[in-house]
Amino acid sequence: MKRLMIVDDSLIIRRRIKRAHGLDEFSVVGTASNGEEAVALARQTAPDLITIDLTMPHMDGIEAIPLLASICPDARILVVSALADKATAITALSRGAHGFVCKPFTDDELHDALSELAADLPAR
Amino acid sequence: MFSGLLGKYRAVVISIAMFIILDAGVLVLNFYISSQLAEDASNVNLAGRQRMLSQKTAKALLDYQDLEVNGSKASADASLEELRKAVALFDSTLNAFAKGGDIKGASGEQLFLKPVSTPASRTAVDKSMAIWQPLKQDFDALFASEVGSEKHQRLLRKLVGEERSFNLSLLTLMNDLTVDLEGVARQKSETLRMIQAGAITLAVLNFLLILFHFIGQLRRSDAETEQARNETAEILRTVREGLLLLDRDMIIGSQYSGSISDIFGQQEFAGMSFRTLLKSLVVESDMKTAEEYIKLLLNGSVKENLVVSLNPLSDIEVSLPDRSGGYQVKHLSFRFNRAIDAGQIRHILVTVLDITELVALRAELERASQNSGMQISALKELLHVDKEALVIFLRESESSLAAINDILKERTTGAHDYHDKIRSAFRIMHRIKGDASGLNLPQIVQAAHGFEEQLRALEGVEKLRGGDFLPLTLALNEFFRLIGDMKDILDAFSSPVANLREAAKRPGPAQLDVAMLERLASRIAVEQDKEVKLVIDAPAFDLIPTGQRKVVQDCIVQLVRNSVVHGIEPRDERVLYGKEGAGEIRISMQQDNGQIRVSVRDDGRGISIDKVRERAVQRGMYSQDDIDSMQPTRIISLIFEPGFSTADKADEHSGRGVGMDMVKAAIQQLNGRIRVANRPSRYCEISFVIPGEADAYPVAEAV
Repeated sequence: MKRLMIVDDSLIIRRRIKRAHGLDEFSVVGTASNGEEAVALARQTAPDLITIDLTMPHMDGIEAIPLLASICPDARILVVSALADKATAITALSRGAHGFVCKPFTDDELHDALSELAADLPAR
Repeated sequence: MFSGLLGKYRAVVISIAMFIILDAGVLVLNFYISSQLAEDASNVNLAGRQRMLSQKTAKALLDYQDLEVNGSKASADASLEELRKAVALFDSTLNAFAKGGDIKGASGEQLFLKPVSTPASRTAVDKSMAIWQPLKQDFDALFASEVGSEKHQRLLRKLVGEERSFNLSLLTLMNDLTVDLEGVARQKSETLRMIQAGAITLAVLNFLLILFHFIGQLRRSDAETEQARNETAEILRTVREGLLLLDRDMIIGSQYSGSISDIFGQQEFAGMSFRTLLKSLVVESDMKTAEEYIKLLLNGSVKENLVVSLNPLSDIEVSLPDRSGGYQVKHLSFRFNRAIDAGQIRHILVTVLDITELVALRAELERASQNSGMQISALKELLHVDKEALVIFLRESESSLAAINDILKERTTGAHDYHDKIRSAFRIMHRIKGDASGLNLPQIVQAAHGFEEQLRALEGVEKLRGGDFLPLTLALNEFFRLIGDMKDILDAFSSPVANLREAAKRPGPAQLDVAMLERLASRIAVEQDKEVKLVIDAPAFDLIPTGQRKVVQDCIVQLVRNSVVHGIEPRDERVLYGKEGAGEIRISMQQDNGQIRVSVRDDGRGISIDKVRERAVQRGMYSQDDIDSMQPTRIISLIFEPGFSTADKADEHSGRGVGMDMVKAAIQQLNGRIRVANRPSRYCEISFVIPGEADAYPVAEAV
């Protein structure tokens, strides 16, 4: 069972991801509503997969991604964000994320993206 | 992998194996035959020795006979000993030739001799044995007998005699053996030479085979490589997409498609940095983003298909040099794909597409789909409209648009004339809008409103020129098309069409279109968040000359609209003044002395003279002094002047101050007069009197 952490400032999106169909092979080990919470939570839960929004209060995705990547070096990070600005998203990915899914997304899109990233995880 | 290699090089491997086996075989044979040759040589030697021994025995025997008699004892003994040795050696060697056995070699070494096998040797050996064996017995007896004894003497004489008779035969036989063994040895060495020659020939053949095979294969693979290269070049030359490879440092590879030159101009791209190529196309920040994106693709832990949507160059507008040396605006689409070799991201394959036409097509499609959207919604509108009225409306709108077109085309001399044009066009368009609104044709209303907006924008321009009217002509054409489309739809859906055509020819409505007026009033009221009821008393409509009915109805439409928008208050306000929540608009029409009197009266807030004053000054129609000197009735008449409006914002129903000046102009055309009865906060009644069917009134000044 892959351990999934969801980081998004919108409760609706967090629930949307949590309850997306076909994610039975992932167990949600924590949700955070901003980068700071995410960093703290990642230390506790050591997730395998992280979905993260870019625009969030306190600490945004751009700042949080390199920290998360250093806390859990094996974790795969999926940016789930509205495509307002490609440059920002590319910067975020270059700082240690591994994929991008555009909001709004379908259950299938999310599932496919997470599965693809999970395939790269080292076997435990 | 090994079996794969073997498969590819099977022929070569087999050839080489054969070569080795052949060589090894020749070597083994060589060893074998060489040893045989050595053996044969020693046989020949031994046979030669036998030949010599046969003579030596005879000589030693004669010497001994002589020395035994005349010589000293010592020399006789030595001679006997020599004889003994010669006999023993000859005997053992001959026995070995016959049956095989160990003998002493030429240099005293012990060696094994095989029995001779060839028939000639056999015969020689057998014959020799037959002669030798009795001789040997006598020799043995001689050696056994005591020297000097009678027996010894007798045996010696017997042996000398035998030797004399058999010596030559024995010599000949031994010679035969030697010759035959020599022949055998020669034959064997001959065979060896043959085998060697054969093996060498085979080896050479094998070598040639390998050589030709290799050369053939090389030539074939060269040809294949060449063909593949040609095919690649062909593909790169003809492919429409611009294709190029970037290495990890974003340097363009040596192979790229011809379209790259078509798109970016003739120059050498191999070895050029992708940055240099982009530099002339996109701004610095976009280039950085593109670079970052390519770096993402080079990072193996990032999922390629999870970043496709971030490609910053998927659709960019660029200025590129064209063949004539100028610049051309194009839309380019870059695609980036990883080129993976042996699990490593070696290159990024860049695909460049010129999507200029595609973008244009897309825009066209969008327009078309908007258009078809129009048709459907226009169709829906048309389904609810009274067809006769619609046919009339469309026909009249067309002629109205033609009129606007004429006005716009007319030559003008000064800015003043331009503004007159605008105002005339405005009036006509406003009437179309009013009619469309009455028929509930929102699309036409919208189009008319849009046209009015454009006119309004022009009105604000101080120094108008002919060119400023160009956009209007385009908008007008669009409008024509819209009306044309509606006619088409109507034709397509009406049956029988001829009836409608006929109806269109009728000069005017027989009755006042009460339903239309009610629809109009209630619709505007809803939009304004007001309530209104229409009371219509129009028995005299049919007294109006048929040619004038339409104009009269248009005026009523305008006045009703004016009442709803400007007269009737919102419900709350009315209740506050102690009025009914719903406003009342009364349309009445009476015949009076051969004239027709039409009035539209609402129980709204009336016309505020102060507001009209204020507005007229604000709009620059008159100076404050002029206004101050005007009588209240004159002030009220200002609402019929072009450009006056008391509503605060322009919407499609009001606020342009055109509706009322259109009414005035229309009534004047009918030789009629306008009257206004107004009581602030209570009511406002606008009425006009026009000559009846019988006679036309002389032109009278309105108000």
